[in-house]
Amino acid sequence: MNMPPELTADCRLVDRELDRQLGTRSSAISTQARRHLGECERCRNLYQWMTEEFVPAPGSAELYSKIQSRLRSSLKPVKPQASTRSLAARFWMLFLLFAFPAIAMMGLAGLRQMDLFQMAGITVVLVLGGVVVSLSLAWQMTPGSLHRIPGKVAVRVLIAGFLLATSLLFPWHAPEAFFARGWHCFRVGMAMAVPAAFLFWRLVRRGAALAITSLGGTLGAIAGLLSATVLQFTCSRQDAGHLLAWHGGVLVASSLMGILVAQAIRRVSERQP
Amino acid sequence: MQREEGAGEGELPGFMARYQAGEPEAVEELVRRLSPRLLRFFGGFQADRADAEDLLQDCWIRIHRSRHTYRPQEPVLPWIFAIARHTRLDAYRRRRRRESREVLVANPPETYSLAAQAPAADEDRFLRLVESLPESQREVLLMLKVSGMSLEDVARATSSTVGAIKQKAHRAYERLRLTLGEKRP
Repeated sequence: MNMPPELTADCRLVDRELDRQLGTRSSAISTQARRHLGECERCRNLYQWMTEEFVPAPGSAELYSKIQSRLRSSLKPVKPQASTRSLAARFWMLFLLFAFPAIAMMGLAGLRQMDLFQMAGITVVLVLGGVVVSLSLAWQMTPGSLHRIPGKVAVRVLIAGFLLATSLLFPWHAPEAFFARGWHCFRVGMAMAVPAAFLFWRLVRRGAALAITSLGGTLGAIAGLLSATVLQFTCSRQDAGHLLAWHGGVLVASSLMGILVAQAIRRVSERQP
Repeated sequence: MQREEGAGEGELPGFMARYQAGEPEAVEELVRRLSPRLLRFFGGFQADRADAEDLLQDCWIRIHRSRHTYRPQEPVLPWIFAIARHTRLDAYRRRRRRESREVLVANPPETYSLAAQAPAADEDRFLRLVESLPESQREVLLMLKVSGMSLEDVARATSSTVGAIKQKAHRAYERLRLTLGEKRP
């Protein structure tokens, strides 16, 4: 393999000119860049190649006609999908509709254990996390959306934010029945996460999500966040170790489960001819 | 830099809206206008033109099923190419899985070369150049050069950021400089 050519500041200037011209009709170029093109053959060749008109050869009329008739045969009016904000709001509403009754049924033992600072801090983190993953799901439902936060990043930010906030806001106590009580919280959390993920998926399937694995992770994350939220307000153990290992564990396990299920679905679909 | 061939890109959202309203003429127009560049996009990765044509058909079926997710006034090309990109990726994974199960035979079937399949000298030259690029850079360059999309449009189509697309484009420039410096095709 040849080593890459050494680039001068003027070569970089040509790159910037190319960036500026990408997707525009403009072919105006600065005097300095034009002078460099006269001197540097490699840049001249690159610039010529990048700026020359490339018109793809037309495909066969027969092929297009086949596609057109196939699409026409099942053509019906459709209603355009709602805006990103509206979709994200639906996810958020579903989140609240699931979380409030669950908290009401399971009692407010956790709320009573927290002081005002802890309650405000963790609520801000949970709400922000919910907004981020709701937006991420809304972007993933619509092809060609500008993902301001990519799906994988959203899940990582959510998990890291939850774990960091928990470790900073809550006290570290000596573990008491760490596994027995923790395992109970984990099981309850996962039992909520599975049906919640299913409900969120019912909303997502109205769109056209393309990256299945990323979508699975995000669905798992929002369902895990919902479980962690319910546990946060209903669990009487409010020490950092318990919250990190078992409540955070639900969030992590649910996200991983979403990814694994999505990968399994993808593999099955790949086997189909 | 080339843009929408024929009529302006500004007309595409109108055709999409009419497509969503169920007008057959709009479907025909969209297929006619967008298929050449989709075919070239697929052709940039497929050695076999027949495979590229199969992908084109598969892509249009996906576009048809997802047409309700297009929002009026949004740019059309990122929406179309996001679907095209995943059509290609899914087909690639499916083929790789199938090939991993296949048993090698004594006389492998004849393969097609890019040069033999490219329909025109112009395209042949283009394909020879971009095939030296890694897939992710090739994808970005194909979208930028073949479809005339802006950096933001490519970022939308690939669920990426403008910064990441710029970086890929710059790396592609460096590789192409090397190739073009050796020999101007």
